[in-house]
Amino acid sequence: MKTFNCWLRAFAALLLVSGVAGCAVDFPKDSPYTCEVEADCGGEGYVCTSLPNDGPKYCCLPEPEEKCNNVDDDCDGQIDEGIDRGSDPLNCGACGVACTAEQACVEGRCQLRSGTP
Amino acid sequence: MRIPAVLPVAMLALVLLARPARAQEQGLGLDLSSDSSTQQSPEQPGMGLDLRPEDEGVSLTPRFILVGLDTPERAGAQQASVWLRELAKGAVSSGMVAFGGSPRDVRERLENRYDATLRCTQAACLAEPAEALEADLLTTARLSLEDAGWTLRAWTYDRDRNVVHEDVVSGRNPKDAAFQKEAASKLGSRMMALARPRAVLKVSVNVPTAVVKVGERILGVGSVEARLPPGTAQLEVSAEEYAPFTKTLTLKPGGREQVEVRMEISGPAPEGPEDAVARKAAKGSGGTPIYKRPALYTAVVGLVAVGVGAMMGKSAKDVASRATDADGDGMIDVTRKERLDAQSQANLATALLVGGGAVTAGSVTWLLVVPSRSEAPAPTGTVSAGAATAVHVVVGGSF
Repeated sequence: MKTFNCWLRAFAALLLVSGVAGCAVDFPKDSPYTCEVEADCGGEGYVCTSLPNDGPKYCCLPEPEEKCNNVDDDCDGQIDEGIDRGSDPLNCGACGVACTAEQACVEGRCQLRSGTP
Repeated sequence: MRIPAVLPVAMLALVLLARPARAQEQGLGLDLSSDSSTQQSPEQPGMGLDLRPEDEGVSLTPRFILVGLDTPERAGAQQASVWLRELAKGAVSSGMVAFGGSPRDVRERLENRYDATLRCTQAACLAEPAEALEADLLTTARLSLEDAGWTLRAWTYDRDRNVVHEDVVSGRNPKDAAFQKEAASKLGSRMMALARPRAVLKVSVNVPTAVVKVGERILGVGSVEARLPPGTAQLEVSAEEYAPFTKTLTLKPGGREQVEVRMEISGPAPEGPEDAVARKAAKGSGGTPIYKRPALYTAVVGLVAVGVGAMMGKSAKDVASRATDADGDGMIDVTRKERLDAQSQANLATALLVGGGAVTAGSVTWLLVVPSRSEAPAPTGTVSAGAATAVHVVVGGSF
């Protein structure tokens, strides 16, 4: 069995080399990928959209509604559209700045409502 | 007067050298033995023609067999024996055929197929009886009353060409000798036209179990000798575990062809006493050629898989190397679809590399470690009690 053991070793070595040479590839996960058309995004709900002001196109996964986060959540090419930071008591002046129940958001500032003691 | 001594010595020598008669050997004064070989058979027509079947091993003359005479009318049936004798004489007198058997012999050999054969006029139904009777020319006849009067029809089946020829003779009545002679003459002419001397083919094979075929006909097993129709024939010799042998032969009428066939091992070792011969043949020919071994082709398939895998892997790696924000616009410079495709390619490439590598390595191991056929230990005269059982596992093979 000496001969066979020799070849068995060679066989195992070849298997190992094949495994090591396996083509594992690594791609960035947090960065958006460029695109030209919808098909470039590979489906799975991704759409090809562009950043505001005719910025570069990228693949985007839309969320049901736009939130105030300086991100284009619904992938329509606009950021935080529909949120008025000058009057939205939940995002008054900046995203995440909420006014109290006695306050109103006026020109991006939380101010006591009139008639409040 | 003195008698010379040489005279009695010469007489004694004569007495001793002379062969005694057969009957005298048996102690009889007269030869009263009933050895049929020394007497003419009572069935023989007394015309000086020997209608007994010839020795098949020697004669190259085609075998002629007269199946019989179908006689629907009683008047014809009464003359059937005369007609059969005349027809047989007519055929044999051509000098081109050998009488292969009387109607009585044919009836015994064909048994329940005899009546159908007697009334058969087509090659389709005469071929099988001719094969069974080993007749090269097979004739069946009918004597009946037709519109033109008494008519004899003879159908002669030519086994070489698988065709039937019909001869028709009409006469006044079945007893008419001229009618009989004309029919016999016509059958004789037919024999002269159809008969072709046989050729003898002798095939010597080194494998006793080899099946020897010529065309579709199996001549026998091992070394055989056979009478065959002249012409072109395809000789095929085959045996399990041996490479088949084929050769196209041109057999000349009356010729003798001899073929020496030396078959060589082509597959796993046969069991039994031919082991030694097989080993010798395998050693002599250097074993099975590598292109006949399946392992070569599985190795090639494995290498192709490795090659394809490497190409796909390289392509995936190229995409991965481009997956950066080289222009600084905040976007990775490959599309998401390219990324997904590259990942799929990478996975497939890994599978092909590992699988192909395994197949290649296994095949190469099969080719190099396992011989083309097992070299089982040669049998010896004595077997020790402690080594009474041995198991040989053979993994190999060839196409």
